Amino acid sequence: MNKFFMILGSAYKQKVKSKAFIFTTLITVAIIFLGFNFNVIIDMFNKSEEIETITVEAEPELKEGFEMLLPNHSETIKVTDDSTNILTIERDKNTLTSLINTEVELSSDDKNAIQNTLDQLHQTLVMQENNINPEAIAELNTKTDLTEKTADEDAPKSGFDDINPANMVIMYITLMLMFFIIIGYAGQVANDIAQEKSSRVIEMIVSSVSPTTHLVAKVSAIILSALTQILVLLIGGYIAFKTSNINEAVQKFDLEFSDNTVSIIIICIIYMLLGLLLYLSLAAMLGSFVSRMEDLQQSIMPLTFLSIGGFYIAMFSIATPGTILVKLSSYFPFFTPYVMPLRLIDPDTSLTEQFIGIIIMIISIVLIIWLTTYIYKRSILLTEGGMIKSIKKIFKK
Amino acid sequence: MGLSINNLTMVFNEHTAVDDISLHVEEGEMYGFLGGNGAGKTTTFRMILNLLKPTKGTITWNDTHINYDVTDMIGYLPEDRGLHPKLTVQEQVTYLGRLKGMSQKDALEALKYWLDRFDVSENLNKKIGSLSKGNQQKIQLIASIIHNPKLIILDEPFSGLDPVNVELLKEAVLELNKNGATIIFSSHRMEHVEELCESICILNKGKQVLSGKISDIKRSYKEKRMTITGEHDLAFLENAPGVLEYTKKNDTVTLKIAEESYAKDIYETISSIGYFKKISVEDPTLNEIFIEKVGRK
Repeated sequence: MNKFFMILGSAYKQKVKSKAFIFTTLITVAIIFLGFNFNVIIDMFNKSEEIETITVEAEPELKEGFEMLLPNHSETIKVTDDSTNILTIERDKNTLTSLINTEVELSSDDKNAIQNTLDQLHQTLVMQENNINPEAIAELNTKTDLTEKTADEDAPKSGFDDINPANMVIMYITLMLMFFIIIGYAGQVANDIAQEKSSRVIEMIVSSVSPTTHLVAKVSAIILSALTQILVLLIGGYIAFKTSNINEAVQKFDLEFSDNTVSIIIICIIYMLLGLLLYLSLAAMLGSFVSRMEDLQQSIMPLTFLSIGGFYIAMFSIATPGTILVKLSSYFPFFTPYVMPLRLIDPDTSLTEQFIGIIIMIISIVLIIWLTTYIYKRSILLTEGGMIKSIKKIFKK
Repeated sequence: MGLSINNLTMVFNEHTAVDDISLHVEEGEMYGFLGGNGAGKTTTFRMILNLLKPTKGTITWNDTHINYDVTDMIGYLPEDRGLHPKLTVQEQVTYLGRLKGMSQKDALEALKYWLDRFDVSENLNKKIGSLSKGNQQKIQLIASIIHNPKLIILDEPFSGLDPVNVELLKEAVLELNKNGATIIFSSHRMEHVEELCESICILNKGKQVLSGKISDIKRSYKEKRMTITGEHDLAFLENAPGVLEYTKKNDTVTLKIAEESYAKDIYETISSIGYFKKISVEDPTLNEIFIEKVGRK
């Protein structure tokens, strides 16, 4: 047990202190900060400024109307008589033509406010001209109500509308994070195992400690370093969110958490951990087939395909989590970590199905770890020949 | 006490790599494994280390089976050399030392001692990949003995080294042995085995063809080598009774004779011819025995 923790500790330290780890973490945190502050950055390059006053040159009726309607659209712009920003409105029967002269480039908010005020002014003019009362306009604008009723009660009915947007955002983040962490760290596991094997140092190592202990400690260390990275990214993301003014922008999107948001986050974390375990154990197995570093990429190809498969099914089904494809693929162990959490945002998925998913994952992980240690023990001393030859030799014995 | 191997057999698929080997190595002894390529030396070592499970037979060290509870007292230098090329000497060797149960401090101290001993102390913080092959080999030997093991298994420790380094390594091995370590090593080089070991085992295609103390093996060998140096013509000895082989180089004639008693007759015959600078009768060299046992089949 001491040796297990010794290998774990030293492999973890080596990973976390490596340049690759530090750089990728820092760069990702930097990207997160940039992402959260993109509005500030855009404003930095945008020279337009907000205007405070405006002078309207038009017939008194129009001028009065504009002044009256403007506060509906902008709280900042005031109509004065001596502003350097001059709006000229001309009327030809019921058509309005206007021109605005400003000192600085007009910001998009101000431009929209003025445009909307003019539109409303125009609407009012037309209404007055044709003697239409305002209630009639309001009635015209109400939408017709359409209620859906399906004969088959069990048919998938969840569409985009049923899904809580906040949960969808959590799903996007989880899927992205899981995909990149799995691909990145699976590569590292396979690389480490193959490197030890191809450099032949493994024979000295396994003369001191059992291959199983060595393998499990090594993979655990890499999982720990992945978790460390996730934690740093989450903390970085939280700080970026709190320090930027994007939360105002987010509030505009009406992102409200639903009752099951907390359970969704917890289950997402569980699947992320299980997914890491499953994929990294598979990576260790694939890495142990390799006796030359040149064969490494080829050997982890199956893992890459499985991971991309699960990721894409989940990504493309994010708005339609109730389809048969999602249901079926959520029970295939290598897709489960990606697809099963997605089903959570579909209100029709029961918790039982989630537990079945977790049980499928646990059984698969135990099987894969068992198979990996079985293969690892037999393959580490095979250093000749290509992958296929190694696989044949391992299972022949 | 010591290492006991009984009826050890290893079968891979249908190929018998090691066929019914039995031997005993006393504690504190230096033991040589000889054999051509594919004789089964590495497979035997791997079985001793519990890296491979024997098809049949038992291996014990001081009457206990070898498993991962006792590997801390074993040092192993594999034939397939290699260390992690991206780690520094210090990182790699102290890591391997800690795997053997040493503390980081002890491992570093021992590493410094051995680096100094092998005259490569400037390499402490260099990456292993940047060292020459010979230096990498020294580092790997250090890694295998750093924890002061009781049983040391060295698979071809001298291959690929220049004569100066071979001497350095030999001295180190002798010192370890003097301090009480039991050392088993394999080699193709008979003179190293003859110089260092008391006992040997010769393997050929997995079979144990010969084993025991070198002195006993040599003594039990009836064939002797007779060397005669002098200016007289000795061509007639080629057909003399008991002479199996006759070779002449400059003024030295070397004879291989069937038994020591024939030497007496030859001595009496030639001493009547005249003066000879040198007449000697010697046991066969290990090389000759090896070729006799392995090469001629």
